[in-house]
Amino acid sequence: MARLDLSDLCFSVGALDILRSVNLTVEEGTCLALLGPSGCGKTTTLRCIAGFVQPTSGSISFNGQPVVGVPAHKRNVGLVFQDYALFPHMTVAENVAYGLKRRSVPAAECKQRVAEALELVQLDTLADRLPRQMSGGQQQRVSLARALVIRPNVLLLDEPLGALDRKLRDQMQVELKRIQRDSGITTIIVTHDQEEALSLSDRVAVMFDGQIQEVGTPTTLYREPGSRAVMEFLGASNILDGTAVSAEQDGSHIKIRDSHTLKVSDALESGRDVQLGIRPEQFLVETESPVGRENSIAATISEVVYKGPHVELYVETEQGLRLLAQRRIRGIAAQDTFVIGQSVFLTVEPDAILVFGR
Amino acid sequence: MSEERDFRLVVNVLGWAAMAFLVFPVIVTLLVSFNGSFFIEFPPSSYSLEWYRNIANINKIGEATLISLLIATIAATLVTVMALGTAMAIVRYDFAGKAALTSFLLSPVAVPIVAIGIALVQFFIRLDIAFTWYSLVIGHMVLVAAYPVRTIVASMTLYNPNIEEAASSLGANRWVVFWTVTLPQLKPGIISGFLFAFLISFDNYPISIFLVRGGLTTMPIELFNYISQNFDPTPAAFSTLYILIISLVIMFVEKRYQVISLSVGR
Amino acid sequence: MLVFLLAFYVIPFAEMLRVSFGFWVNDPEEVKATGTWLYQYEKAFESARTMRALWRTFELSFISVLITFLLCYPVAVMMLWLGPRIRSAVLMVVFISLAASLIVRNYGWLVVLADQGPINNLFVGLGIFERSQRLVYNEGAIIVALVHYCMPFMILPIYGALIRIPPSQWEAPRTLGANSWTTLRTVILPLSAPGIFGGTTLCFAICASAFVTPLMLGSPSTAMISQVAAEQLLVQLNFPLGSAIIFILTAFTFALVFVYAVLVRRMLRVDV
Repeated sequence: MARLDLSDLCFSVGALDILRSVNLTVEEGTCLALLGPSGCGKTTTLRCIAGFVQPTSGSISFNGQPVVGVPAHKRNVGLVFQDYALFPHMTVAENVAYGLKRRSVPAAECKQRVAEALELVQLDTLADRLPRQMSGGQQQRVSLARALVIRPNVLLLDEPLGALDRKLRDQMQVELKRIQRDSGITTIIVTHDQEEALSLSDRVAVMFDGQIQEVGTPTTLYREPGSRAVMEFLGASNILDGTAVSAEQDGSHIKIRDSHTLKVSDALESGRDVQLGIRPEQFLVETESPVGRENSIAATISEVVYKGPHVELYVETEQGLRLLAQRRIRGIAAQDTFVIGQSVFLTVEPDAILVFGR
Repeated sequence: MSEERDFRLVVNVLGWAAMAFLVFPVIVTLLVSFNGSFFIEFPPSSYSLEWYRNIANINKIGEATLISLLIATIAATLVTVMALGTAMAIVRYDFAGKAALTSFLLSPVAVPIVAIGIALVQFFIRLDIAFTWYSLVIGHMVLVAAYPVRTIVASMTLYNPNIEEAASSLGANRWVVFWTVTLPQLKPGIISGFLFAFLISFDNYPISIFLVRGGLTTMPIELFNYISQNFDPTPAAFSTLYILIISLVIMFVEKRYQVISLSVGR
Repeated sequence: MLVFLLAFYVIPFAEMLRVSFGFWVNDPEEVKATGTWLYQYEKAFESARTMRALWRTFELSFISVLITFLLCYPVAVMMLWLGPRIRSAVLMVVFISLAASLIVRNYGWLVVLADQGPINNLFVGLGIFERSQRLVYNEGAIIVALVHYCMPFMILPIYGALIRIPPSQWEAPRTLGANSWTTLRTVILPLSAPGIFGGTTLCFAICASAFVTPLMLGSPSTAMISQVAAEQLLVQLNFPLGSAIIFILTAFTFALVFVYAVLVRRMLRVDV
């Protein structure tokens, strides 16, 4: 177990910069999700840590010990591959014992540690199976046991749930979280799936274009993202361009498209150009005009998308402003069914609007 | 890292050395073919094109090459047509003993070639058609039968049967589907199967030796006879031309049909 | 196709098998002999020359296949790392040598190993040989030529197996503490077993039935079994004995391949 530090990590192939100064710290025993769109450099970062990619510059250290230059097989890093990379010609137990054999662990101890690892992932009864006789979820757990048994400095998971179907994913999410907590190993999960990132990790690092954009706990990143890009990447959002027109004691008014004015809780000097971010679920959707309330927008429904627990409403105001709102569905009352062309009123609390500089 | 670099270095050195071993005789043959002296000599002390002119003096070489070309073309064509139907049956339909049938169809490759020759010559003598064109063509067909089956099956397993259904749904009948969709898709397999069959037939000695007599003779037999009776570099000139032509043919076919990638499989 | 192979492949072989159980009409002793139906096989096994040829065939085949494998495995691994252009060039060379005539390729070795050929001249030049040595018409020359002929048949299936191994199988052992050599030995080699099996059996079958190569590069004293059989047929016109010898060769080859397959399957848990 170790604390992991990446500082000023750069990697380029020819003129192409894949990593441009990645700085990141993962505290001992915690789990960090590295989240980003494909091609953002998150897998390269992982491969740098594992030792398969030599960074062009910058440093990687485990507990303050620099490891750049140490070959992959001497780094003691546990890596769970996206395709699991189980050795098809070895049984589950042999797969798990592989790393111990390379470390010349005595047979008796090896046997015991393999048994413990398999117990941790709840596969102790399947030790003599071959990988091809197991389901995807089981293979994933073998792969995890194989990585954990060597007591790695850092555990790296590359898109761990990517190859599983929906239902299994949800199960494995819970399972993975438990195993990580029980083993207490410093973990990095690379994923492009925001739900996976938010639910599995203690902290999330959002990566764009070879750089870490923002690091924070899942809650802060979702509720109060520091930039428009992070807000847009994490979940659905409405982004509106506006200009501050007047400041008040408890906030400011922002004029959008010459037509609507929204009140936000931030104090902004007038004349400043800003961007507003509103999560769709922050809109209160009503069919009758909420007289006298601030931040209310009248609009017409242009599309209704039924999502099960909630319904997504695409609306458009008279002035042509398009917004996305969400409404949770409770009960089976007819009033919850919306139709295209219907007039609705969207209301949002001032402190539910995020303000980003432009 | 340095450990991995050493590993790659060792493997690369060994690999390129083996490749050098593979091309070495070809290069030596090429150089010797321009040799000026009457005996094989390397490095050559003088140069001439005499041995290229002398190719014509290999006994019946023109006639024999023509016969080989004809036989290889006929055998390869017939076998490829038969293989197309067989391969489609193997891939499309499930039936009892399919695995056994497949290994039977591919087995002529593993049987000693001389055995095929010996078995056939006895058989043809009984049928009284030994030492004729028929026997030679049939012998070569048995020899090469497995190759197109193998390549066409390989190209069919890569092939997505949905596109045939797509074609039918767009209004094509079964024959139209076969001509416009199935056949073009299988083209690389068919071409490479034909090519293999042709080359192996063209090059065959151990079957032909049992099935030729008198005027009926093939290129490899005459080349072999010349080599065993003469020591001058004429065969080197012939070999150089042969490899040159083969290379051009293979490069052309590969460029058009990616035959190599197919036979390696991905 | 099935009918065709039945007519001109199965029936002739069955016919040959029957002939091999019979007698040779040209030998008055045999006609008189009251031997069993295995008479020809007994005769073959009693013949010292045939048995020597049979033993030599398997010995030379085994050595050739082993050398071919050792030469070709690095080529196949190396091809994985090459850029696409060089790789297709290498594949092209392999393919062309596959397609180049066996006689042409053997002739190349006659030239290379000739009295005034490059090897002799080089060794004389370096002072290793005092004067030119006869390098052809011996078992060594046969092995060299067989190895050379077999190389494409070994490289292609092994390369085909190697490219099917996902890159993560090269990396996973390293994260678990294996160096490159250990990775090769414990994971890559077993996973490429189907290709190795395919290549080695094909090469073994080719070598065991070699006919042209020992004819061109060997001498009567290095005759391989196919030659002995062909001789019985073409020179002696003794069809029953020739057929019997061929069946002995085929049976031995198949038996060896079968044992080999069972061993590989059991040891590596890989389907081959």
